[in-house]
Amino acid sequence: MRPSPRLRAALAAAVIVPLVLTATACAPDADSSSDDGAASGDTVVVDSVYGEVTVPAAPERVAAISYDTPWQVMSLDLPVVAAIDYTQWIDGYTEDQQAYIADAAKVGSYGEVNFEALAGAAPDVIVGDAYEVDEATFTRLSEIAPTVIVGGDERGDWQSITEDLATALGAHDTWEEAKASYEARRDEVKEQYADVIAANTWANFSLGNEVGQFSIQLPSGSTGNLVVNEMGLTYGDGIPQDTDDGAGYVSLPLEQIGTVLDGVTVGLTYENPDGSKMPGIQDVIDSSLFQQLEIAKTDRVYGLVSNVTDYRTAEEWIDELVAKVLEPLSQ
Amino acid sequence: MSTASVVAVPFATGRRRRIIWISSALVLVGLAIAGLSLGDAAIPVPDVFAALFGRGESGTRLVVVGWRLPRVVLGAAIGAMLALSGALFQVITRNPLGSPDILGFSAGAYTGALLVIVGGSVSTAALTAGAVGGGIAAAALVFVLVARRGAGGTRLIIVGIALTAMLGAVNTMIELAADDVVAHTAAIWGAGSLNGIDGRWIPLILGALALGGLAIAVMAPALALYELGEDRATSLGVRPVRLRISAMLIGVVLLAVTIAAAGPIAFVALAAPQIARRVWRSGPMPFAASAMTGAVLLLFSDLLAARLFAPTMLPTGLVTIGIGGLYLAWMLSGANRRRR
Repeated sequence: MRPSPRLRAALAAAVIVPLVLTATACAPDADSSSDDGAASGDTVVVDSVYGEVTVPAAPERVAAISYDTPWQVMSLDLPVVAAIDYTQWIDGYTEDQQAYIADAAKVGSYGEVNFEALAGAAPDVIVGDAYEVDEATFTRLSEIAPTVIVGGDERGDWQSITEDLATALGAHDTWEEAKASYEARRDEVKEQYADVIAANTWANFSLGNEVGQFSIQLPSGSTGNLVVNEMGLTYGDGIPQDTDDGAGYVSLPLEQIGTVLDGVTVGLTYENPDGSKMPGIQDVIDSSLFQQLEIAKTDRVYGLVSNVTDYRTAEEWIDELVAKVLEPLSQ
Repeated sequence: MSTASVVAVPFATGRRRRIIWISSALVLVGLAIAGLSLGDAAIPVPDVFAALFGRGESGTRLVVVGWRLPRVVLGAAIGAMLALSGALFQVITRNPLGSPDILGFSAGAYTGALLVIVGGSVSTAALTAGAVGGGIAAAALVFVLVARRGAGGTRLIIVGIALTAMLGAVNTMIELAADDVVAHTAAIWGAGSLNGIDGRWIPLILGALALGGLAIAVMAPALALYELGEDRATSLGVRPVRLRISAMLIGVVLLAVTIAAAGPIAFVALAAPQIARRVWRSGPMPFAASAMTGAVLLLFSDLLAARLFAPTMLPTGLVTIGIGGLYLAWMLSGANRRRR
């Protein structure tokens, strides 16, 4: 039995097109002076965790397959054609973020990439981070399209991760603009609210890995980096400064919360765009041990919505910090 | 009593078994073709065969031969090896619950492979050595713990369950202590999945299956006698201690190699031999039928894992746990019915 023309067309679209695109993208450049990027087959060689990769100079169909990567690509003003399935975490994302991935093909779940669905999305470049993509997975992804896997010095090193992505996707100008805007806003806020910042001791906590635990962002974590290194907020003395495991946070038994948050006068945590908190975070806040802390008695626990993955979300986080925390505290 | 009298079957039963063999082989082939054809890029069966014979579009050949064929071949082989391992342990423990999952050998093999991953290697040889070493160490520990008071009754099972729990805690501690990227890799591998399984495992897995199968075929008559009871087997010329050690080693190696390749896939080793025993209505443990059942079970589970919530893919081990839960419920309800 011969397959119907429709089946053949579907197969071609799903499988063969991306392979042809890959071949095109990797082919020697015949006209590198053209401004018409991917359409003319312009390519560039970029560094990635698993070696040099030849990618289209101006990719048009970007697949972002690691957990934070779509938002990092979003900050570069590029669309994505494929991302993992965010359904189970969707409440934690803003309307803009939800709209951004609404039309993207779902290509598996966290840690389980569906290679065929990814091939069906016909990307001309695939990006991800080394925390989730090992070398064997990288090799198979490279059979679908040129694949760039980035990885900063640590989990929360969104500065260098986004810079590497911007370089790989030909969007360095956009990245520099976002960086400059962020740095200006950061410096402005640090100066304007210097008194409030200096008068308080800070912590950024969340739910733990297991029931009966809580977690603290380390300076090497996405938000911890912003709190401690970028904004220069004084972290509580009892909070671990770093661990060797690279996770960017540490999960501890709830019994230790009094010691860890001793002397902390402002507690930061995460909340959903609708103002609710994840049940695990609410459980920590509702626990009797937490309720004995100074931040609970003075009602100085603040939920921020922004997930910090890049310069834009970091700037949004600072704006939220001003509106929800620094401005009220300065009254 | 001769060996032949233990394994010989009446003509009618033999005919029934031939029908079951042909049916199960057809099911296995059907599942394999489905595995090669179904996917996010649905490929018509004629194109699948064209790709298998090196014809057709290069994209189709990549998907069929490069991605799906290793998954199907390794899925069937791993299922068969898990079933053979389970069958061996169920014979030497004379207990239908005496599978490597329950006895702690799977957890031991997982610990061994985990230590290798944390040590920084994911090579085929290192993972296999780690898993085999861990499995053998766990098996030795179980038999040392039960040696003084004997492995009879439920003692072996209880010791195995305790060791599984203990090693589970050890594995969690290793993952928590490891570098985050390594721990993440280990956690995903630890779920047991055939998604993205690499063709580099084919020679090792098929080689282990062939050698293990051959060894079991040689040992099968002695194992059939052993099932009649240790004293009777001894009187018929079987050397029980040597048989137990040989069977245990073969069982652990078969199990550990599958864990090195795909992570721990639960319940196939437990369920497949007992299902085969009931379907084939066999007195002695039907090893070949167990292998066939294991292959069918794992290919079916993997197809479900890949297609049930597509494009989201479940780890294959999660589906086998679900199927294993149903099997346990069925087995326990059967036991309760017999007691009434």
